[in-house]
Order: sequence, then structure tokens, then C-alpha cells
Amino acid sequence: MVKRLFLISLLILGLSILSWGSIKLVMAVHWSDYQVNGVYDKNGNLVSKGLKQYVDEYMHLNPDVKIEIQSVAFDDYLKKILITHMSGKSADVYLLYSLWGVQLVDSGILNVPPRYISEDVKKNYVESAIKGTTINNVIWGIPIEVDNYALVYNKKLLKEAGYSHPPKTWDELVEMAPKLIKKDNKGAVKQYGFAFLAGWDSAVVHPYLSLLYSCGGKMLAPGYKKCLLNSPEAIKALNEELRVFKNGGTDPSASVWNFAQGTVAMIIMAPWYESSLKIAFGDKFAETVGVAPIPYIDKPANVSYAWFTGVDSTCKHKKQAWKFLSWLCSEIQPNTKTTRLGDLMAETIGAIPPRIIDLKNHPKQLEDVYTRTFIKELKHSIPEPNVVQGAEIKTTLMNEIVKAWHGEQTAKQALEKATKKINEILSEYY
Amino acid sequence: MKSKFEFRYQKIAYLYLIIPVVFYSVFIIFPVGFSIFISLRRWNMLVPISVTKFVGFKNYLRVFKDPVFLMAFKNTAIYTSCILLIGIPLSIIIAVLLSKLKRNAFWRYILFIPSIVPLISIGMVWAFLYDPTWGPINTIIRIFGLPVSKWLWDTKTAMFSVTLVGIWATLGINTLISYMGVKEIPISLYEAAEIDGGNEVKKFFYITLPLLKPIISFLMITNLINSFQIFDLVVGLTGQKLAEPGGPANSTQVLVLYMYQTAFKYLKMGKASAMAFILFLLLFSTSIVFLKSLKKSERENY
Repeated sequence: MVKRLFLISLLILGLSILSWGSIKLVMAVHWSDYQVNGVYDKNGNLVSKGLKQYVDEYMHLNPDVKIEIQSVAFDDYLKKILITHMSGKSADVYLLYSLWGVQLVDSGILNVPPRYISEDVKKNYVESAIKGTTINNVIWGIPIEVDNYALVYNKKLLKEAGYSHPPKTWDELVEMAPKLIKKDNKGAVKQYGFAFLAGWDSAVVHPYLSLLYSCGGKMLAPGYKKCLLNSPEAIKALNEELRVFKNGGTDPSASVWNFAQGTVAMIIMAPWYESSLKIAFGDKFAETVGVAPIPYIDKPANVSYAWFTGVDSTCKHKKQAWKFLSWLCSEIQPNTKTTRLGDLMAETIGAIPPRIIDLKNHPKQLEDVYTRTFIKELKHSIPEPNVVQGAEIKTTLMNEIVKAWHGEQTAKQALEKATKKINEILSEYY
Repeated sequence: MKSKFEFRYQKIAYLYLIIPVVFYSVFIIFPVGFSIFISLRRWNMLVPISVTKFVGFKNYLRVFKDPVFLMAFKNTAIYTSCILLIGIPLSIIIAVLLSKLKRNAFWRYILFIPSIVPLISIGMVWAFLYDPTWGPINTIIRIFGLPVSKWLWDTKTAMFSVTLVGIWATLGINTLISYMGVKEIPISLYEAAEIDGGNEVKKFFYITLPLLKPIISFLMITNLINSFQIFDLVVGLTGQKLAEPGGPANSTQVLVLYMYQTAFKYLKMGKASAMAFILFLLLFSTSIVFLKSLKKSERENY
């Protein structure tokens, strides 16, 4: 008995000594199962790598490093970051929405990347992604995704109505939308000409900001001390949205998600909707779905938002964490001239990788009918402001815009109310 | 002077009290105390509480000045009033009607089904039923050539749509409890009323309702507390991709949902705690009023 106990103790001691030598990193992501575990065909063969395969590869190359992926649904992701941080069990590496970054930075949650990382970001990424990752003039991580918007239209429905091209200007869209409406004999709408994205703050606010930028307006004054949404440009942009409602081209119950059913002719959408549309339209995707720049009011403009990877300030192995992120996000693979993260984004996740070399060297994925417009539009894209209480500010604006959509208030009333409330929020922090 | 036995007996009694005292301290006194403490500070949950800034009653002032909170309060009050003033009377009427049926087990079962389904699921199913374009409700209305509604998709009708589902979802359990109360009333009272020439309406108002007072008070208190804490039904109904939880444009915003959004979306734990404490005070005081009326009605019964 004593001998057996001695052997067990020896085994435990041996395992403990072995584990002392290894470094453990926890990586928190908001991605779904196929994005983490990869895409497999019917026979179980890996078709497209997920994050797990890259992490396994890194651990194989660095046997002293163990990386655990913790995946949480997007809706619960920020809560997970908060709760794990409160309980002292934070992840070491995060994927972060740029808007969350401000509060994480102010609260000292994020670690400043080493110089070689920030220098690399400054040189090799698209401008909107660099701005998204920059808070208080400091780069806080490596950009991993950049998103903007475009007009997605149903070629067949436009052709049926006699249009061979999508609208280039907002005036054209306002004129076309009601002509694409179809009603049944009881007057129920069976097909909408246009549907506004709705359902969460960014959905309503981002397309509005595109129109605001197109009018030459701004949401916030420099330094974020004042909201500028009561400016004539801002009111003009919302009035342009309301014109589509007033002339019957849409109504608040029109949903962008019905585009995949072929009952909405035009929507303003982000690049990540492509895979859903491909599934919905199947073989007829290319002949049905068209993508064009957002119709402009005064000048072409777009809004963008970014995601980046960062390291927690309480991480015990910061150097190794940055080394891993650099390997994953920045290191160029000699055979493909792309980064591993670029491959993951373009080939599996279906998002736009923000590193310039990745944009060039994924022609099959990024120069297809759907995505190429979004990439071309990056040159017109202005990042949403990285402001404290960004979610609250955007929700405030969303609610006032939606009330205007419902005809409860004019554009001027909506934006004056939003400006007042946003100024109150800003005054608490700036 | 206490004997040794009495003293030891008292010590054991105190020992037994430790478990409930610890339980109440950990799960009730500490959370309430902690939320009051947090409500006086500015805390985003990202920094240790020790470094948070004391702001006095600023969070409470902000809550009372916040139009979204006032909207949420109004919506919650309307929802609760409808459950108490429409849902409960309706459940009593149905319970009385059921008691008149000889074989009513099937109907009781049908009525009880919504009570065993989680409110979040009920919300998701009704969101589909309410869909203005494809939903079965508007499809049926169109068959009869009547004007359709946008239900949850219209700021004017959204809260009404939520309340309608709330009444439907709580009807089953309220009816069953009322039915048990109706069954407890001695038949001899109704027989005596019949001899005196009392009709069904008089029997209902002069026998059934007065004797159901304790049941009605119980239903009022439980429904008041549950309705004021409504959250999952609103999330299920409006949290689909077609609208935002509490939307459109806060038209279905309710207190607990706004408290949750303030804490976990806007990271304002101080303000959310102030809201929680206000809600606690509100429910506590209203429940005491109802409990007193319950005791009074019990005394009247005896």
C-alpha cells in the first residue's frame, strides 16, 4: 500500500514538473463551430481549416506552449470578457470589436503590443483597420477583420421591373424602390423594393452613417466632446432615408432577411452575409445576386468597423501571447504569400482580412462577384468613431432613427433628441 | 434564573438558526447590500470595486431623468395592470365556467399547456405568428378581408401585442388556481342561494367572488411580482433578427430588460444597481400592501 502511494505521488510530482515547463494560453473567440473547428465534407475530410487547425500547428511547432480556445456566441462574448475578468480568470488573448476597445483600454484590461507588432500594423494594414485598432493614438493589437457596407440587389427582380443596372445615386434608389414593390389582390405586400437593415444598433446606425458621410457630415466633434447629429447634413441624411418610406419603397416591417427568399429587391448589407446568400440561392447565386456601392447622396462614402486581437494585461506570458498572434496574423507563408489569419478569414469565415498582402493574394475568395465591391469600397470607408459608451450612443441614435421610420417624429426632431441624449452621455466621460 | 438544561437547549436552538441566517445573509442580505453599495458608485465591472468613484445619489437622479427608464416603467406598469385587471378576472370567469362542466380535464389540460412552456419559447413562437407579411394571424385576417396590423413591428401596437401574449401565457396557471378555489366553495351555499331565488350572476357576485378573495389576493401578489419582472417574454418576442430586444424604438422596453442592458451592454453597473434597488423597493412596498389586504380578507372569512 505504502509502495503504491509512493509511486502515485512520484507520478503526480513528475507530471507537475512537466507542466511547470509548459506555457498555457487561453484564447477567447466569438466564432461559430465551423469557424473554430474547420469545414469538413460528407466523408469527413477537412475542406477548409478552422482556428483549431492553426492552433494545433502552432502547438506542434512550439511543444512548450498549450493553447486553449474558448468559443462563446457573439451575444454573450462581451459578458464573458467582463465576468471572467471580474472572477480573475481572464483569457490571455481576445478577439475584440474595435468599439469595445475604448473601455477596455481605459480600464487597463489590454496590454500595449510590443514595438515590432505596432510597427508592422502601421505599415501593412488598410487604413480603416489601423484606425479601428487605434485608441488614444496607440495601436492596441493586430487587426483581423474589416467590414463595410454595399448595396446588395436581386438582378432578376430589377430586370423584371425594367432596370438593367442598380442605382448609383440615392435619388435613383428612391425612385426605383416603389416600382419594385409587388402586392397581392388584398393589398398585402409580397415583394419590397428596398429594406433597411435593422435589429441591433450597428444595423441601423452604420448605413445611416454612410449617408451622413456622403452628405459631408460627422457624428461627433474632434475630441468627442460634442455630438454633431443636429447639423443640416445629418438631418438631410435621415430625411433621405425617410424619402424611401414616404414614397412607398419600403416600410418598417420590410426585413433584409427576406432578401434570401427573393422577396426584397435591394438591401444595404455587410460582407459577412455572402455565405447565407450562397446557401439560399445555391446554383443561382451568381445570376441572382448583384453587389454595388451604396448609392450616394452628394459623394461616394461608406462606414467601416474593425476587429482586432489583443492580449490581456494580466496575462502571465505576454511575450509568448504576442509571438503566437504575430505567427497567426502577421507572418507571411512563403508558398501562398498570405498570412494564416488571412486564409482563415477569406477561405473559412468569409470576412475581409485587413492586411494588404492578404487582400492581394486571395483572388479566388476576395475578387468574386460579392466581395470585390466591398474591397473596392474600402477606399471610401470611414471607421466608426472609437468613443467611450459607443454601444449606448449607437443604441440611442438607433431608437430615434427607428421612431422616425415609424413616422412618430421628423428627422429634425429625431436627431435633436439623439444629440441631446448623446451629449449627456459624452459629458460623463469627456 | 435559567437552568443548565434551558441554557443548553437555547444554545442548540441558536445553532440550528445558523443555517437559515447564513443562507439569508449570502443570498438576500449581501446581494441587496452590495447592490445599494454599487448604486452609489460608478463601476463598469472592468476595474476593481476598490478603485471605483463614489458618486452619491447621482445614479438615482440619472435613472429618474432617463426617458428610456420612464418608458420602461410605463410599459411595465401597463403590462402588469393588464395582467391583474384583465388576465386574472378572465381566469376566474373561465374557472367558474370550467367548474360547471362535468368532464373538464381535457380543457384544464389545454389551458395549462402554455404554463409549462418557457416564456422565451412562447415569445419566439408568437413572434412568428405575429409576422406582418408571412405570419398566420395576418393571413387569417386577410382571408376575412379585414385590415391587418403590423403587431410587433409597429411602435404603436408592439406593447399591446406583448401584453396579449402575456395574458395568454399566464391564463392557464391562473385559471387552475382559481378553479381549485371555486371547487373549495361548499355547494350548500349555492343550493341555499337557489332556494332564495338567486340567479347565476348573483351567485357569482355574492358567493363565488367573496369566497375567492384569498385566492384572488394570492394571484394578485404573484402576478404583480412576475409581471414586474417580465424579461424573457419580451426578449423572445422582440429579440429576433427582425427587431431589437425591447424594440422597435424602446416601444416594448421593460424594467428588467433595461436594467440588464444598462449593466451588460452599456457597462453601467452603478446605474443598473440603482434601478434594481428602485424595483426592489417598489415590489416590496406593493407586496406589503397586498399582503395586508390578504390578511384582512382572511379575517373577514373567519
